Amino acid sequence: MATRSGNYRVIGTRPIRHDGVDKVTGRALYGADFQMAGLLHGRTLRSPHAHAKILRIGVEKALRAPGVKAVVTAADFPPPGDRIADLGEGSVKVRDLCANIFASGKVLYRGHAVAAVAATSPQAAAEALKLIEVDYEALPPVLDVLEAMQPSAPLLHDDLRTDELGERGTRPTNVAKHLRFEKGDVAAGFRRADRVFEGEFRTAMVHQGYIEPHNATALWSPDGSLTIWCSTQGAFTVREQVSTILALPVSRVRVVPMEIGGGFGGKIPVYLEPAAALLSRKTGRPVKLVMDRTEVFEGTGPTPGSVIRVKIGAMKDGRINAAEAWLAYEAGAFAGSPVPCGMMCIFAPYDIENVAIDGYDVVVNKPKTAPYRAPGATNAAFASETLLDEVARWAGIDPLELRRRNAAREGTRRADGIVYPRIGYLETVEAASEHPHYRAALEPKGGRRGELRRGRGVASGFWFNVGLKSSVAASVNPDGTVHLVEGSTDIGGTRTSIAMQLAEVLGIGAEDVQPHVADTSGVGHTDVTGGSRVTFATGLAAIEAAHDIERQMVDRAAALWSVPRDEIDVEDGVYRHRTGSKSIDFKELASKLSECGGPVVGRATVDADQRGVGGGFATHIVDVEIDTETGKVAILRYTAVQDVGKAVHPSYVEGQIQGGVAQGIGWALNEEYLYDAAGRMTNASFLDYRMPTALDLPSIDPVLIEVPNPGHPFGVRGVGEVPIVPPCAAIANAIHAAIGSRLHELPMNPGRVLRAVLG
Amino acid sequence: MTVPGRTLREVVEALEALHPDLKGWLREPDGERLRPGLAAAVDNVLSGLQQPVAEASEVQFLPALRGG
Amino acid sequence: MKSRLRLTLNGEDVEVLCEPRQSLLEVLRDNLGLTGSKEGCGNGNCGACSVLLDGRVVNSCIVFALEADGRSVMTIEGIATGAELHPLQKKFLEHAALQCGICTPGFIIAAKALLDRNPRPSEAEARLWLAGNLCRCTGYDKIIRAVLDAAGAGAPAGG
Repeated sequence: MATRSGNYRVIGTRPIRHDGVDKVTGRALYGADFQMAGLLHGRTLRSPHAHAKILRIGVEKALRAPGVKAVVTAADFPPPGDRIADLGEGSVKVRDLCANIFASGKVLYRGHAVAAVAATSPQAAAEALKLIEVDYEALPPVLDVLEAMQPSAPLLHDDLRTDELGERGTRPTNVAKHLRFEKGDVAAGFRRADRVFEGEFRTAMVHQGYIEPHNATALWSPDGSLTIWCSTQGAFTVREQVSTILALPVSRVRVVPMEIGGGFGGKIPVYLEPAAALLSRKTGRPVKLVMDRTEVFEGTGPTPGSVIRVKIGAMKDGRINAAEAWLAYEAGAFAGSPVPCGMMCIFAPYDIENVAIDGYDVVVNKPKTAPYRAPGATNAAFASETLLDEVARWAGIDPLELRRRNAAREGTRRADGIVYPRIGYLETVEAASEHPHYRAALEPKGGRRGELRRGRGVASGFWFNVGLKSSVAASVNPDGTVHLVEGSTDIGGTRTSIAMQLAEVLGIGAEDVQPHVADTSGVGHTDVTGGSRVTFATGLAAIEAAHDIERQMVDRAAALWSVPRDEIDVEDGVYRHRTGSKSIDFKELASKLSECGGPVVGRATVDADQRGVGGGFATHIVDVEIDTETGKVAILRYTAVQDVGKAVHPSYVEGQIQGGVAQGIGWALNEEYLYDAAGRMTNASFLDYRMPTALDLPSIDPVLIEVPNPGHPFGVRGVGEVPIVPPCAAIANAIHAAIGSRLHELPMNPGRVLRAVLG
Repeated sequence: MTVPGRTLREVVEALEALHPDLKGWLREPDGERLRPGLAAAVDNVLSGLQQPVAEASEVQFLPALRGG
Repeated sequence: MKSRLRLTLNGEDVEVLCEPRQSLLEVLRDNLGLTGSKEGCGNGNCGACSVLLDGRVVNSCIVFALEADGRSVMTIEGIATGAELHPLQKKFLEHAALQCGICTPGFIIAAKALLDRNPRPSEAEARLWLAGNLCRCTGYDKIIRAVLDAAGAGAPAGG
């Protein structure tokens, strides 16, 4: 489909979102709000140890406690055997999937679920947990990724062998995987370079921080069917995971997605659903489980801490001719960190002839990591974009000019081998360098004693975005409105951006489309709301369904006028008979459908990976002010320039950018999992796991650049994830500009900044 | 490296014939899909085994990736 | 052993039995079926449970329900007047000041308390007042704009 430039009627406008009134009045139902007659309440018993053998679990006393109806453990799973599952992101042993729901044999992190209880009230369930007896044999935990890679480290899994570039290793290890990307000849490149720069960087484990804890309600019916209501980023992936874990055919599992209070990737894996299902089967009643905030920190999927070493070879004119990276990511208790994504993104904005990237996926006694908004890329960009700043300073070149000189473009080959289609990276660099923020003067010092230092930093970032599969169906109502059924759970306004695309094609208003997020029985297979895919991929499906409706409406007009259908043209929702004077608009034709053939239902299913997913690039500018007496870093001004392809609903695109930047700022300055030597997270609350508040942030200025993605009729690119990639490095570079010292470890909290100031 | 094939499946079979140690590594045991964790791009577009491959097409094997 | 709780809830007199250990949030959600107030953390650190107790913003997760006996409580369900949305609700929608929406009820309650006291807050005053309400989706920008617009102050300085 050709990309259409020029004026759109609906695309680019800012209608009120269709679910907005429900959400501002408190009527919208999230998972924890779900009620049903006979509901039982569940609570989960979690390991106090970071690493231990489970010798015995005794549930007899708990079963006798008041109000308790059932207890479940790993023993209640169908035996996983050697089954392997492909849940879309890599192969995983079903045994490992089950073992993260309930520990089997060993607990591998503090917070690892061991058992769950269903009782007549949440309090009765909580009391019953205290009566479950678990005998542990504590083992030494390993909590640092480099320590875990040592041959002498305590091992989490007896049967883990390194997947070493495709070959299975023979030695027991904590290193699950070693991957390598190679392009050109880095050794030769470094030899030719005028100067070689090196740095080692460390990042800490951080959590997605969604305000809504995980929840799930399950009803196992006497007819053997299982229904689950939960807050999830993907009803179909919940169905797949649950049916895999419980060895059920998918046809017996129906997942109803409730509204969801944030996910950012962390609500793609299931945690509570299988337990709720097993408890429901045992009790014959619906069972609801809701996590508390401590459980969310300790028992779900934060993103890895990491150690990253980067080496860059540069010429005097600022051209980068060689780049090398070594990345070691904490996978948590089971293999599967996003180190491959970090490897793909680390030098992605640049055209570099010689690149070598090695990545290691390493297990440690921490929660199994889950995706967090551009998983792996923020860690990588912190390292590479900081080192690039050093190159710019040495070469005496403006940091944005350095990026411009090395910018990847259409036709550049990335280190993992992919050749870029039309991309907008250069446009973001140019827009940033021309932005008033970049040209504004920044007073270097302030405060009554000159104790406030100010500095400006920039950084770029990339996220590849995914396509995957989406299905929609749309029926035309007699009043000319369209009921659109889709399967992408709506975390940020996507039901509206999808509806807008359908409306644009049909020539009706956004308010004439009623979007509905259906459950797994009500819509065709639709992959997760994640990977910045929904407005792109489900939008594509909506566009195709709209064309399907249009074709049928042409048939109906032809029947209405008794003319051949190929004599009818349609433009902007008006159906015209070419040779006669007859014309009719969509609304009016809709009112006559019963006279000319009956209801019109359009449908489409799309494999969006085949269409040309557009990658996203961003360049950010930040001004910081550092109090050299306390180490506190204030963000004075933040500008985030991003190529968004085409902003369907600009307000929500701006919102994605602002939200991602805010998370990046928290990651840069304060957020981290603090562990004691025994492997206990000591700051598992919102008080001490310090996320940005309204007081910590200035206005974040999003600048939308539109370099259309040729793969989408309106030029849409995914936008949600790129914004979190540059902030840590941009802030590190700004801090360096302010105090002359470069921090190599996240978070750059007041203690670290003060130590850097004091030298 | 250059291998013959009119579809991605034929390309994979040709690779496996040239390098027997790739057998069992690129594909599922039943040969119907790439193994979990592996993706393939034909001319920079992610593709399945049925994807036609042209005379000068470029095929890359990549880790299967996801977002958050 | 349950106790009788009487309060004026969203303008109506209500009576319910509850246990002394129950928080106001729990009674609102589980005993009274008003699920608009949300639990985000259970210990008063996120503001998702914000309600007005005698006109004052409180984190209802750390208020015992019985503390509200004989007093007036307003929740998100009481903010609109019949079918007419409160200006704050309208401005949140216009400014796209919500993405997932889970923090929205708490913010609207807290913002109402601000505007009831300070009808024309500055951006700094609004940010300080709302610092007890966490949002992870929006970065707060559009929330602050919506609140200031509802106050009739217009967009914050600096765009």
